[in-house]
Amino acid sequence: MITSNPYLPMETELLEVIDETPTIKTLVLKPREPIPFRAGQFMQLTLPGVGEAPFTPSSNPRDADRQEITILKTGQVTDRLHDAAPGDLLGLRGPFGKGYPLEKFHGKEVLLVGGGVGLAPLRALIYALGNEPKKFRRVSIKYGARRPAERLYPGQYEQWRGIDNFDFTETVDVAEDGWKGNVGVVTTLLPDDLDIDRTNAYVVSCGPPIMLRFVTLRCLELGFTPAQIYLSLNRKMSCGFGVCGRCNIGPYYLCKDGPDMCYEKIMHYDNVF
Amino acid sequence: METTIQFLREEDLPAFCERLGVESLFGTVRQHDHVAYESLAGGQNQPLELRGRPPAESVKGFFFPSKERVAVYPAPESESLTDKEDKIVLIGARACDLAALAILDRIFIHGESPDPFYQRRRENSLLITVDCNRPAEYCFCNLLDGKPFVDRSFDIHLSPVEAGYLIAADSDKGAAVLAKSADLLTPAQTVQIEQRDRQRQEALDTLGRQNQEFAPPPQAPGAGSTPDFAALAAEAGSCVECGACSYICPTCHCFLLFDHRGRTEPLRFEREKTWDSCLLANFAKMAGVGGFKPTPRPQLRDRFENRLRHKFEWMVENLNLVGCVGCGRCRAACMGGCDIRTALQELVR
Repeated sequence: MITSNPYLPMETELLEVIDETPTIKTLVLKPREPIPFRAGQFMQLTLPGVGEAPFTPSSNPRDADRQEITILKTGQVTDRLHDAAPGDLLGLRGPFGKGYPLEKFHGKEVLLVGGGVGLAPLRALIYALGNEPKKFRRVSIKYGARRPAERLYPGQYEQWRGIDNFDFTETVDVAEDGWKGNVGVVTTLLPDDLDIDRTNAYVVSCGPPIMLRFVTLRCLELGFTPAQIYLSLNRKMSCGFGVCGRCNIGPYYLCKDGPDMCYEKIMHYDNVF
Repeated sequence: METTIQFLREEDLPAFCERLGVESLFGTVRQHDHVAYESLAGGQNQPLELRGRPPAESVKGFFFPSKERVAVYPAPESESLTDKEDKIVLIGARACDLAALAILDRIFIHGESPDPFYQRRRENSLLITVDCNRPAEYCFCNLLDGKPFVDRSFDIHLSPVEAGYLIAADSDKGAAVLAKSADLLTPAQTVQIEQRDRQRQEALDTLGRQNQEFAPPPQAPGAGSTPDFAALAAEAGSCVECGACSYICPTCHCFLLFDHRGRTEPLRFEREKTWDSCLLANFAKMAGVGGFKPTPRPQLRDRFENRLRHKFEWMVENLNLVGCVGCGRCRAACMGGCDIRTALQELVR
């Protein structure tokens, strides 16, 4: 039996472009047919004639007929995506991968550590956790941006703080513009006396590879086990089903087994970060 | 199914081919110093070469072409890229080619997301395999549970003997083809079967001799072993990163997707899928801030190791099969003289 074509993108209309920071925009997309997804799953966004790039939607997984994808201007495809305008026709394939293991987090404390545009995939998770907050004992969000002007989704921080069992703390690497908040890399938000029940918690982190490395090391120092740490490793995923060969860490393909991987599974392989 | 062994006279081979009745008929012929597939359609062809060295290329490219269009978008309402009828018959493939196709079938048909193009071609194909009575000096199928002949799960198989070929079918498709040529076939004689068995044993002996210094890998290569990375690096040292090993490999299946404006319809766009190689430095490079292109495996040594461990360790973990059939074509193609057998020894030591 011949199945559908996994390489064909679904026509998707760009509804709106939101300027988030000087280098980050969020595209609001409406695919021709709804695309249900789990927080953490990613999609291939096609810019016609230019190519695809993988992104994890940053919007609420409850909304299948409309996705938001938050994009840092950083390469051949993303540079051009930043020039896209409402009404443009784009393409989507996916969703791919497993997404965050939400069911595992039931009854637990969840520590989210994000850096830079890494807050985008985590926002989908924050929405998912916020959709049923009582299922989780506590959600603690730690976020680091390079500069105050590069803070992503600042308008939502108060809303997150306002959910009963949620807390949100942020820091910037470099203080500017009369910044009065925390200064330092995101691991400075993970002090020795971090108020998290380490025996009953999971850590989920997303950000640049160097940050993921230091967050992992810090969490291990704090007493978390490798099995409690989930890392969003968004590499150059292409096909989406573990065949084209780009995104493997050892036997795991981030595009189909991830992109959010339990550190315990990958810690023994080289070139994880 | 029950396989009946029959005999086809050498001089009846062209008539047998004629009756296959397909336009896409390819067979192995001699080209200078090597054996290659050529189209046999349209009469006036070179004679088939079924008794010599194995063909220089595997059959991978017939099913997973080096470049193909896999999508046109926005998708036209009616056209389907897989609608084309493209029945294909290949004559001259070896046991290693069949083993490699079984691996590609697992990846492209029985994987998470079947590839409709590959699947279509496989469904429309018939393979006529042949005993590999003169293994090349680089062949090592015997180290990987392979044999230089096929004794099960084939369409039609030929064993060259005096004045012709023993011929048998092992699939419904194959049996239907033989039925069309029933008048050309006679029952096999005991003496012919004895000749076939003798030749097969000689080929096995040749393989045993030329590979005796390379012990067969253990059942689960890599499990609990500590590869000698220094030795691997030394092996990688002669690699010039041309990617030939990956392209010639009958099981390597890394690919690249790229898009461009439609050539015939400027209002549409096309997506192409081409062979790629995980050994190449640019293979997994990503976009990065300030033009910095991070890649998870910046060192050639790491990429070399990744390719080998994928075949011999991770495919075993994921699919319970080894991603190498011992055809040795990578050794023949390598400009740096890398020998996968040497590297393999280091991996499973």
